Amino acid sequence: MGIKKVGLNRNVQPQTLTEKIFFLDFMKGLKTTIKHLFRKVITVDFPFELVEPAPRFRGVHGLRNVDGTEKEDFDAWVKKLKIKPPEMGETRCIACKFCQAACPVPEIFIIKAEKLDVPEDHPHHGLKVLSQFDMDLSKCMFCGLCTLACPTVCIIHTDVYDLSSYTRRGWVLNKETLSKIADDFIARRGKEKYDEKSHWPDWQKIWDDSDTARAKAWDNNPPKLGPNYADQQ
Amino acid sequence: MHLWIEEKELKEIKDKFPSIAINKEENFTYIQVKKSQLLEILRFLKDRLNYKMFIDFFCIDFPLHNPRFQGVYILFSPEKKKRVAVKVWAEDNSLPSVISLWKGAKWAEREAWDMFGVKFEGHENLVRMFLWEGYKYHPLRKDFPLKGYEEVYLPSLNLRPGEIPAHNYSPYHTEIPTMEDLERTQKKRMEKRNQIVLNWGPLHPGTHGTIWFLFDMEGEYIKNCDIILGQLHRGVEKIAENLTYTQFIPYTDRMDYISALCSQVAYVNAVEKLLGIEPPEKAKFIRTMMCELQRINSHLLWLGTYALDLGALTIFLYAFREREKIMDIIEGIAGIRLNSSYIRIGGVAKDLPEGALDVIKHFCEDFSEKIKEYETILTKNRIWLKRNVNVGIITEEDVYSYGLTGVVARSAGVPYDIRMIQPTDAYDKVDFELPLGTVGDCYDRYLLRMEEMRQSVNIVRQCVKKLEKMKDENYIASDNPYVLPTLEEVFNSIESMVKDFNLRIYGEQVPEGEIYLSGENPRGELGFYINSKGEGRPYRLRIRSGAFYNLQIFTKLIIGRTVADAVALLGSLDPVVGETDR
Ligand code: SF4
Ligand code: SF4
Repeated sequence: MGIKKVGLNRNVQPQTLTEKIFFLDFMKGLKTTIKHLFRKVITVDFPFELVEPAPRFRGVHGLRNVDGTEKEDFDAWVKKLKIKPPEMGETRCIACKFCQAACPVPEIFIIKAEKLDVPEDHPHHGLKVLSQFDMDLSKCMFCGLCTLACPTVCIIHTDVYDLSSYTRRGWVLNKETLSKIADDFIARRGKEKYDEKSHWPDWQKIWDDSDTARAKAWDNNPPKLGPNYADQQ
Repeated sequence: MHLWIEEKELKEIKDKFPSIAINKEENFTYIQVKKSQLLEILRFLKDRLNYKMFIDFFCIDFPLHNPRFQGVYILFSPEKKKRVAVKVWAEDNSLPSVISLWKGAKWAEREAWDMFGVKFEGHENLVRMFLWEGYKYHPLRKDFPLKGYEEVYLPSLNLRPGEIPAHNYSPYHTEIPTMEDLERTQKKRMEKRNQIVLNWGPLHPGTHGTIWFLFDMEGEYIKNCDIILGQLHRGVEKIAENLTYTQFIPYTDRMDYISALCSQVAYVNAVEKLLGIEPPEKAKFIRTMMCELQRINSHLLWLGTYALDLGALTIFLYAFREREKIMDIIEGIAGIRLNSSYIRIGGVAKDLPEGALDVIKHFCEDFSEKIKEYETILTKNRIWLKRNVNVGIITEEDVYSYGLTGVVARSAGVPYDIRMIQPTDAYDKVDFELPLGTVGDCYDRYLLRMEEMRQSVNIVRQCVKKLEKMKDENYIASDNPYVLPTLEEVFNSIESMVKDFNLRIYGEQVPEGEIYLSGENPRGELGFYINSKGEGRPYRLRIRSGAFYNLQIFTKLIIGRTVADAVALLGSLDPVVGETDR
């Protein structure tokens, strides 16, 4: 550790007379800009060309449906909260409201569960189903605290970042929309993000290195993704 | 490493002023003084004991105590590298103003008046800091509701006939300033001496955010100047009192949104110290590495916009090219480009993904070359020199009096860098040089930031080297009872699940105590004062913003100069409005 003095006459010399007369300062600057004229374009041509968000990207939320990749203790949770055991394709949400409790802005969520209206001898008597799950994303910070709190990996972040809407009402997503967003996402990139027990695997890559749009943004010289640590080489 | 005043000196003060009470603790050492003696003791501290640098002043509200408000001063001695805090009760809701000792107290006292309604005797212009003249309440008082008072009717954008509302947007809104209010506010800020008052901002690209400048012009020259802040005031300190410690982390991102990671680290460090958590080695290195990447990112944004303001458009594009790469890295590791919310109490949210270190190494490889490119265009360019050299000279005296920190302080030759004097995380294990300016003008600040980027790359390289050997180490100290367990642990054990639940719902039950700890933000010292009463939420959380104090000197430096210099000067002070307004 040390101290380094900077300033005119310290690490930078003032302009010399020749530099002043021959405009060498401008010449040198121009040389750099002219060099850039012959470089390849690095801007991504949005919206015709899209950079695929990284696997960890936290975009618009989704609500996952039951698809056979639940966590081991999913059934126990369903039982504990007296929820009607969901069939394939029904939502995983058990209306536990952990997401809402973890969220810094709990007003985002409206979560309601209703008792099923069935006769007493029905096996589902006394059990509940999720009747409402609305999220007002105009208040959301996309901080990811809700998704980490969900015991069933139901609420997730997808890679959707398009949230524009003409009214504030457009940012309120209901249960069906959220489920659809999640289904789309899982079909597209589920393999990349979750393993067969919905865990978030550690071997995840920082991003997909075959993405040409991203390579462009990296000066057409994208980094090669090797193993993370030296001792694996 | 703690920086509080030593026993010997405390005794010296006690001998001189026997009526004071001393409270010496590991995290916060303060002297409790009487209001009548305040100025005398502060002068003694400043002149005799050399605590001449003003760090912060703020108030705390104790509704059940009489007198109700307590003022806290934090001072720093640059020679001894020690801090001291002075506490005083505001009898009759007022305190003597300390502007005569430190000019930097001017805005802090205005803020205290605005937020708490504490008056300051002898203050030159005690007007509201963030809110407008005529606002009836003082929002940081404990009896002010978090949502404010909803009293203005606004027709809602969302009501459509026949629609069942999911979220009911209230048609009522808290009070908003009217045109007359703003006019009154403007009139109160500055005494008009000349013909023309020029309004610069609040929405002008040159102000880098929503700052409203008033220039009293005589010809091309500025004769009088004042700044109206508050257009981005969101009451972050009030919000913090109503959230758990973990839930507040995303809000720290939104203060200095250009260097979110640095803010998170500064905040989390303060909480960890209060809780007695030691994050694992790996987390420390990850934090340091991410902070330095963020610092480069922030300086690149500064370079681009600064050059753009002074007319060099190309640099803006070149700087953003490099910045985009860092954004990509942060997105890949943390999940979001800007407001990343990646640091957690006890460590970091998630381990580095595969390939992260390769990407960072790749970035470091050619970055030094890129800096050289910027420098060939700018450093010796005669227009650049004309616009920068000898503009806005800051002296050492100003630094202490105004509480300037960060690059602004270092440009005046004051070696004040929190990374050096109170290293947190892994800063004591990496090697870097501290660049210092000589003249204190805009040109020095430009050179300093360029040099700092080089040093940051250097630090990042050292961290990468260390992290390459730390594959299997833990990235969060989740065995500590206050730290949220990792996802795997929650999935695998019931105890972790219960702990997770408790921490999320009730918050970290932080033991009673106080702390002031700061971090080196690209904009200056970002300090967090936390007062805990043993609950899951802080009793008072004060954010000492570097940009807020640095901006204060603008009015002094600009007087007598031209409007063109205002652009250069503001750019070189580099405030971020999210942080000044909080
Ligand atoms: S991302 Fe954050 S702010 Fe948004 S819903 Fe989840 S916890 Fe709440
Ligand atoms: S935490 Fe998950 S399961 Fe519980 S209410 Fe939220 S989304 Fe549903």
